[in-house]
Amino acid sequence: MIQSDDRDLLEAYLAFELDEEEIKALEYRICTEEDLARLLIQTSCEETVIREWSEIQKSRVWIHKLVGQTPARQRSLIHRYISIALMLVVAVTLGYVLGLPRSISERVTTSRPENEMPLIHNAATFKEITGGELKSLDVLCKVDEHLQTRREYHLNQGILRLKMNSGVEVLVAGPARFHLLSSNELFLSQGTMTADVPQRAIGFEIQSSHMKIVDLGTRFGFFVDEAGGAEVHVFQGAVSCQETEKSKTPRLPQLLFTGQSSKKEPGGDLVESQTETDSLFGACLCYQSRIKQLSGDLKLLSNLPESVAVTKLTSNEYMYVFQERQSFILPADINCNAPVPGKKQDVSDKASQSQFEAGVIKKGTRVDVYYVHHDAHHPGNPKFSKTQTRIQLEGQLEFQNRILGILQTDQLLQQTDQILGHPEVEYLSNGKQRNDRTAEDEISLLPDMRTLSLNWILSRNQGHQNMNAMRVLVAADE
Amino acid sequence: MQHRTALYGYIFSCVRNHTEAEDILHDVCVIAIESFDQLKNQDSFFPWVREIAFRQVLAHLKNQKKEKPFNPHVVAALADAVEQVEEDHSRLNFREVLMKCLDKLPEFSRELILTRYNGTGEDISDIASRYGKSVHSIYSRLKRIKTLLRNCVEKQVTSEVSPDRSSEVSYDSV
Repeated sequence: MIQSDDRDLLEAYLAFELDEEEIKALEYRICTEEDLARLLIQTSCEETVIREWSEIQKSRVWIHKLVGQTPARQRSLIHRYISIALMLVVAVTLGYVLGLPRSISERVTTSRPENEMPLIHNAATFKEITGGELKSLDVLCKVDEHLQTRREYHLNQGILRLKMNSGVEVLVAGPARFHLLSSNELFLSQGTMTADVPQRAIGFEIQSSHMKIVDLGTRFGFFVDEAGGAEVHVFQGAVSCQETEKSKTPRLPQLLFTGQSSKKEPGGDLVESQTETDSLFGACLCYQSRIKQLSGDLKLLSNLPESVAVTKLTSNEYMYVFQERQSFILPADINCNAPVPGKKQDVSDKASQSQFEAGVIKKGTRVDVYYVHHDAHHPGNPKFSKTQTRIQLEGQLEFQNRILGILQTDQLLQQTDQILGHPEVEYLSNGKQRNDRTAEDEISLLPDMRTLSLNWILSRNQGHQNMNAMRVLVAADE
Repeated sequence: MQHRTALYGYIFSCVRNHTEAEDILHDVCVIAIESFDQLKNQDSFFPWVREIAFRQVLAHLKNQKKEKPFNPHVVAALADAVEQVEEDHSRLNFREVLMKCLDKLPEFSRELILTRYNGTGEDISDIASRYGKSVHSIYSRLKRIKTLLRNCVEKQVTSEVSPDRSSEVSYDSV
């Protein structure tokens, strides 16, 4: 039987404010009184929702504190809200007058009844942009500005990074049009985006007119074309994917895991996508990894490989690149081959090593770490080509920041696997040869000190189990 | 995620620590995803995922047994109770309704709730000294706010059932 002060008692229990005897007595009651057990859960649930609500409000309170202290600023804020409201009214009216059948307001209304629509509130922060402009109702948005629900945003080109108030990091590649539904929901009308969802934001949703994606703890990409066709690619983790069109026979949501993808054309069914992940999301993935550009036979992995051992990441066509660490502060001095400023590549094209010399990157330096890997198919593998026993791959890798050093010998790589390698990737253990570089291999540094040009050659005719590998350390911003 | 509030509420009731509860909920989600094909009937999703949560909580508490003694019967009793709570929440749309009620709070009450739940670990005595009030007064005010929130949820739900009744709740006392 619930008593009047039971709720206080349960709150004190949850806050560890009871003594041992009180805990014993209360726990006995929880085991024997169903009502009390339910009340405890109900109290915890209330706490959970209040905490969630507080998270959402944080950014609004911050703004209020900043601008709400002087009457002039307060008035300006009110004017701003009124202008935004007026602009929204004008936009919606225009939408109806022009009869835009696919206007965003219509589409959102169909997926969510009007009485459930939240009021306008801040749902995300515009963190950075490169090579384009973000506008809402033709008004240019500025970096660090809060993005609000019930406004349509238009990115003309380039890449935009925004952070949802729930903690989700979203990259959008232009041209794109999107709309925030809440601090953990987004509506993509057109364009490409990737999302990196932290644990506390599991349940993050992205909708388009034909598809709804619910995150289940993951990194994924979502693409919507002009006609409304949409596709999702899971880089890591899992998502639930559902059609949003009403049909006579509603289907259960589809679960997609790492490496899987799904596509839906207007009027069609959900089918597996045949599009290559990097052709759709390459720009976002590069940006996320702070790589400015990749060209030639280099390919950025959308997901971490399980292993870089021989035969685990094999290709006759590509040299693979992945980021091992981002903004990593070196815990010790790192011996490497450091670039020599001002030194150009040798005319003979063979002594490019002279652009680098033995050096040390000091402990405490903040770096991004990358791994470049090439391992072609070996004799005995069905994909081994007898006519192509000597495989030559070329490419250029341009980073956003300056290259501090490269590690390309077995010894240097093995010494740094533990410190610089990604903890989830299996590297070769000591003693096993990873990297038998052939004499014709070339690595040269372009004058901008950010770009590496690679020309890697692997000989396979003797059946050697060798490969080419290199670790690159790049300066990271504070 | 559907059921998240109830699941988290259950886990938090057992471990009484938000960081640990979040970690356990994450593990539960991962296990549920990985073993989703073992779920025979989609309608029994919540009991199934609750069972995973029950096992994870037990395993977690057993690991901490030396530092934090626990009663496994309480974990089991709460696992039984959460099903009923979740059923009520789904029916009443509890989370959305409580959020709406929180939005309607008067300025000072909002500020107090935000200060209390801002995650900086500030305790009631810190909050009391910040506002120049006694600890007891802050406790009482928070208690009043929660009572009114509960009344608001109740009224909202009632008004949805019988729309002619007013869903407005007076917050004058907070």
